[in-house]
Amino acid sequence: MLSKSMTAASINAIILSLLEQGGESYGYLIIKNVRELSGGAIDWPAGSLYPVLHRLKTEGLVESYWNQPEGERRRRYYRITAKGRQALSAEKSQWFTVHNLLIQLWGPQPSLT
Amino acid sequence: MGTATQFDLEAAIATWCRFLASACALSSDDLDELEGHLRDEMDALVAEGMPQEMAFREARRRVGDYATVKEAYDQLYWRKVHHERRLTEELSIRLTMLNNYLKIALRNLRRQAGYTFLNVTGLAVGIACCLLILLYVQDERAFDRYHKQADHIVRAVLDLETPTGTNALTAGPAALAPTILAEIPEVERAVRFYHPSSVPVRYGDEPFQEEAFFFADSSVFGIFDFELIAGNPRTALATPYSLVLTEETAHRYFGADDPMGQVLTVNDSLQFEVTGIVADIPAQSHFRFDFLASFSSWEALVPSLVDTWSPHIYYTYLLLSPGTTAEAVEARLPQLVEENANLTRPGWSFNFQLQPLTSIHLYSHRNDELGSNGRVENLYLFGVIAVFILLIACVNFMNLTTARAGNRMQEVGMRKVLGAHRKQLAGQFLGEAFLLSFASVALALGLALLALPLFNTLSGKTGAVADLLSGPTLLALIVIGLVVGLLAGTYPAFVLSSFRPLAVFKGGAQVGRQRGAIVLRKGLVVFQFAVSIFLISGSAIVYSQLDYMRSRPLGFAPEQVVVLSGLKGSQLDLYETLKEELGQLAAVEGVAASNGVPGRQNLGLSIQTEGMAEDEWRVMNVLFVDLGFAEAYQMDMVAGRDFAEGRDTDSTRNFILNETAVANLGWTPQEAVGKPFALTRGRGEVVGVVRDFHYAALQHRVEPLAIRSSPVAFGSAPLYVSLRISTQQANRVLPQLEAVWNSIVPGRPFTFFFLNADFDRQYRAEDQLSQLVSIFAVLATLIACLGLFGLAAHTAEQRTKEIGVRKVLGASVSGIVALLSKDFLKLVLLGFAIATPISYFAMHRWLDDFAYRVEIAWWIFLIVGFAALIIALLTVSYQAIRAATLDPVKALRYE
Repeated sequence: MLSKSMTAASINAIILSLLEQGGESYGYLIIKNVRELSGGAIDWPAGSLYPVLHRLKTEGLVESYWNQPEGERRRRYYRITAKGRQALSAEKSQWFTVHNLLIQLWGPQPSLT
Repeated sequence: MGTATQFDLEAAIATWCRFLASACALSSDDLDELEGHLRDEMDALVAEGMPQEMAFREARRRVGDYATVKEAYDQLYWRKVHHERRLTEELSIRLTMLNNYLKIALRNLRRQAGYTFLNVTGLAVGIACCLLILLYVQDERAFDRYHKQADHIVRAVLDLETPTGTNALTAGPAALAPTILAEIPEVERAVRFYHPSSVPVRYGDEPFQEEAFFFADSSVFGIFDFELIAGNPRTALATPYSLVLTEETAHRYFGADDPMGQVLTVNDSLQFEVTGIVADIPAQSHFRFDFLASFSSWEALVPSLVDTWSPHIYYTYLLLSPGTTAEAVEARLPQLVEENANLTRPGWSFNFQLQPLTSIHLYSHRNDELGSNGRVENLYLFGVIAVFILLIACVNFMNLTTARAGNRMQEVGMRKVLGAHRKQLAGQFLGEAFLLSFASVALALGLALLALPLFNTLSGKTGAVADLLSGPTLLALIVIGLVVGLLAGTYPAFVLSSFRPLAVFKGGAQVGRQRGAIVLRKGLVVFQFAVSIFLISGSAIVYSQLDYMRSRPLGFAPEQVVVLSGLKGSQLDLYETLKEELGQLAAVEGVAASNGVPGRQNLGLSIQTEGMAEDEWRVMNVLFVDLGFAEAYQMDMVAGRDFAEGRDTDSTRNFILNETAVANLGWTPQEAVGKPFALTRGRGEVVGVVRDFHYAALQHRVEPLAIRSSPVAFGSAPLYVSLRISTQQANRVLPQLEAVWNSIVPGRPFTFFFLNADFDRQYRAEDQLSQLVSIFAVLATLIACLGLFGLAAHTAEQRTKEIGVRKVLGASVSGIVALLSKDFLKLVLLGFAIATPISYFAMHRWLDDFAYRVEIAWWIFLIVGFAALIIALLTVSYQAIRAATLDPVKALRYE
């Protein structure tokens, strides 16, 4: 399980990435995808996902609409917006910065001992 | 699995949704979304083969518990939904709490109806006093402010410097106004008033004697806002012999007829035409007139007296241009006088001062004022009294509330346990204080309305109900309500909210009974009684001084002296006949004429006597009398003789001096007899010395006086005919006097006054002051006693059990009464000890204003202290006796 602060930090990036790659999606599916992709390590409670989606929507990064595909339940679908893509790429570069730094710090290096 | 325990999925989901909806701030879309999610989760789980009920639980877990969902959504909706909801929620909570507070407050007030009554009555009486005093102060301060240009109007008054001292005159010379107008451009307008002492006015056959007859320059309406109902303000007083009347006067003379153009006969021979009617002069004026005659008429009558620098009988008012200060104009006056006035007497000089119009009423106390002015000191005095009374009433509230605080302990403890903050509790109790203070304010307004007529009678004011309900007064009331609420409520709120719930429920708390609280309470009671005793002893001393002034031998006998004041002008030669006829009446013991009587204005004239240079003059009060004056007034001769027929009439006009005058000139009474003595007109010698008599009120020291024998009246001064009546019932003699008068002086009204009543009029201001102060002192004491009564009741109630035990053990009723009263009496005694020296010094200073003053007697304080003690004892002992006579069985029933 991810810590609370880690979840809070990463949830935007993960949702936006999923939406960018998979097109439209809905809450349950997003959680399911994340659970599967992370091998069960990241399992958000629905209660904390929806508010985030809400916020992303008010910030204009995603848009939502109700839809009921044939033979399925009526659901609220989310789709990334152009502004969302921009935000994602900014997010992405920040994540890479952090990632690269950590890799350097943690990577194989001369032992200090 | 029976149907009874069949898991009902839909019902479970519905319940879940309802819970979410109630717990969190969710829109219905959000809820739909969450429900859909739950179902998706479940479907997946069921598809994996999980039983429905278990799948529901697992799905529900995965969605998250209520707290998580709530927290997440709360953050989201913080600004919007949440906030709105909070607001309405908050409001409804507040309202509920307010409702609760109100309910509890009213319940408490009702349960302690007795104490509530004491509190509210005390506060209401206190506030009502304040309100009336406020009205009085407002009225005094508003004098002359109804003139729109009041801030630019000044009065020029004259300090006349003479070798024997400065004479602070209100009136000045006639030439002053025109000279100022010509020389100082910053002065826009000027008006002179001349006020003859008494003027006979006739319309048709009916004669009147008018006291408020003024001559005024036509500029008067351009300076003062005397509203002209009829006539043109610019021309009404432009021509000689034109006359403006007040509405009331016009009605008095002409009834319903149109007064404009009517002709009145003034001084028997002059025809004045009515050219204007002015609305009645507002009460808040430092002078009032019934008639305004054009100044040009006066100029026409006495051309030699106008535009000269003497005599000093013209009241001069100036209108300054905006932006000009009185100081700037005043600074130029010495030079103006220097260049224009022709002062011939060595050692005499003019020193003119400008008084702002609005300060005249409260600050000007000069020699020949146009009316009796107020005193700013009295305003301060009343202000202090108002504050004291209010404080005493507030103290009652504080003391009773903190003393009774114990009864609220459980409530406070409970509230605190239920999460009340100290601030909330303080707010609650402060709120209760405001509730009471505003209830008292409402009651006070009613009381003040009821007391207004009485107050008007006592204070000589004409305050109306409308003044009491005017904006400023109501605003003041609200302020008083707030101040009283804060003053009286802060300390109790602080004390009550400091209860520690644990201590309260353990039963060990003694809140309101701690040492600090008790000491404070006692201190406040001491303060209350100190103030009450101060006020009472103060008014007792004022009263004794007034009594002293009234009963002090005046050096003449004012009782049974009737003074006729109507003889004027051309009828003066009727005096001898009048004197003869009146002297023949059996009841009349003596008749004498004079140009002044004790208590009325004095005439200061220049005198010269032995040892003074040819051009050296001193100013001395001079009284012109005819034979028999000393006899009629029963005055004592110290040396020499009284005026006598044949020796002091004819060409030699001799003098009698009073003791002070003789001492002032450095003689003994015996030496004085035979000395030459002169006025600017006529010489004579001193023939006798009269024992000092009080020809002015006892505020003033007896000043040097020369009495001159002068059978003919002097100039324009009024002639008074004094009659000594033999019987006590002077009223019965009056018709005879009037009959004689009418037979000899037809066409003049019979006007008279009793000398002693007229003389005592000078003490009217002191009388009013003394009455008002005594009433307020009594009220202050009453309020303090209300508080004491409440405290005593509280103590008796608290000590019910103790008293019960004591009685069972054999204590007597008197012993218990003494026990309960002792503590309070100590406080009153302490208050007495504090108040007495303060009162002594304060009253000593007040008495310093009087030339003849009573010594402050120690027994006054003793009586006041004793009275306070008795009153306090009565107040306390009522409760003490009640408690002491209670059946101990009742008191101890529950032990």
